[in-house]
Amino acid sequence: MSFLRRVYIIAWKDVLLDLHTRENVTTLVFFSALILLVFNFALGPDRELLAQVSAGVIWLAFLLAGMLALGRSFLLERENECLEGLLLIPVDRSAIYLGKLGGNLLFMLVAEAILLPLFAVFFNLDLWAALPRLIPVAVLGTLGFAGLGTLFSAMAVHVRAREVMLPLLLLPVAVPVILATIRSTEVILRAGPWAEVAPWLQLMAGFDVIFLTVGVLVFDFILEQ
Amino acid sequence: MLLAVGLYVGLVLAPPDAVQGDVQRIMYLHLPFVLIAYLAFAIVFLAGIAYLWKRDEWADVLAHSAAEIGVVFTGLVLVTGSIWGKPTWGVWWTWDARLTTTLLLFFIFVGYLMVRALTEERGRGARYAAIVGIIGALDIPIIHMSVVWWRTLHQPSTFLRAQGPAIAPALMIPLFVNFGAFLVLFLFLLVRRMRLEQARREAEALEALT
Amino acid sequence: MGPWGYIAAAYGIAAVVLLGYHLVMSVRLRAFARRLSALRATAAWMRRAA
Repeated sequence: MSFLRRVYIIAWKDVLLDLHTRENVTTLVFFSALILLVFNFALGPDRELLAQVSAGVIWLAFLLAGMLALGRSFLLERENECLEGLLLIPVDRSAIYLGKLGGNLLFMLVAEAILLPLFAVFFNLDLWAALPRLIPVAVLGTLGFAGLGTLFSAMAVHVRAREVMLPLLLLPVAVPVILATIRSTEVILRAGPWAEVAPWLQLMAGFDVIFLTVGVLVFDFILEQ
Repeated sequence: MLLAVGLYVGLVLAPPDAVQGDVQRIMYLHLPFVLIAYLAFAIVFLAGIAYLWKRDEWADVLAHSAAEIGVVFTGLVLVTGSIWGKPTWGVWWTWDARLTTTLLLFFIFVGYLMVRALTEERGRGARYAAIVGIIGALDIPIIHMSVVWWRTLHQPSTFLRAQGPAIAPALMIPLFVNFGAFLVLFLFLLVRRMRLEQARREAEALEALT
Repeated sequence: MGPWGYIAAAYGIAAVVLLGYHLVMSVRLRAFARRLSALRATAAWMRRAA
């Protein structure tokens, strides 16, 4: 079996598990929707204000919910002693990292795909016009966030106060991706010029490349017993 | 010990010149603190790599000590910067690129110390902390770049650049003197902190024995 | 608050924090030195007994 195939199998295991339990995608979707609802109480019904902050609110809802899913990702493996099983696979540890990352990325992207039309209705967004430009932003942004999140999630299961530990580590480090997704989405939603989006995309691509490489390199040290 | 403290107080009181108003004097604290904070985190980064690679206990002691002192200095950077900002900008805090980056640096390395403190076994904590340190140090330039873009692309020219034109030589000399003094203080604290950490580890090992 | 007020605040806080940090560390160092010598003695005694 090739390396890629093993990565795929580890990711597929998580997807299958979720197809049976429906824990991740369902909770992600409902939690994001609830965050949105609560944000609306804070912001009030002012249309213009909502249009200005919609990009930020949408992404914060996605990412905060995503963080919960990321936190559960390795907790499940530990609770059921599955991590030992994963470690027995005769493959480089980075395959486990990439596999888990693939699963998490998929959950977050599916949840985003389900929620985006809903949010478009809530915020009166013209989704069709924005969609082709929104997809690369969403993919690159979610990849960067999930990439570091998977890494820290694997760490957090061995740390006391693990529920707080993941956001504490992830949020400050993920600031470039959070900023980039929110700002570029905001430009796209007001149909701004592509030249304003492109630098953010480059920044996210660079971020993703750097931290996925770091993740692959250091994941071995995290799983070490 | 008294010698280093005495040296530091003497040097702080020494530069009596103030060209751009007296408040500028805070710079003599602020700038050396920033540089030392960055130095401390560079040490954390390099020692983290060295620890993961060679598994040398000493590298981990160094990284831990540098991180803790770095957090103290970063906290002082934020406080002195804030106090400097009030009379010069009129506000305690502005979401300017440099300030935001420094605040995030502070959070990242507080996270670093927490991972270390809250991990169940020490070896694991050391590895995790090293990873957080490496990621944090790599992230700082990216964070800075993103925050600069955020301020310039989104709201151009809403704030004045923090530093004015090039610093006059009359200010440079006390600045260098202060930087040297704080560097000595930093190294002094670092050595003592490392000695403390080594004592702590030896005590732990001996306690496990007895 | 004049400029000297701000300067005093900045220098004061810096001095208090750094001196405080140094002081706490000194106290802990001394405490550990005492504990270590006791522990070393116990360990040596145990080795002799064994």
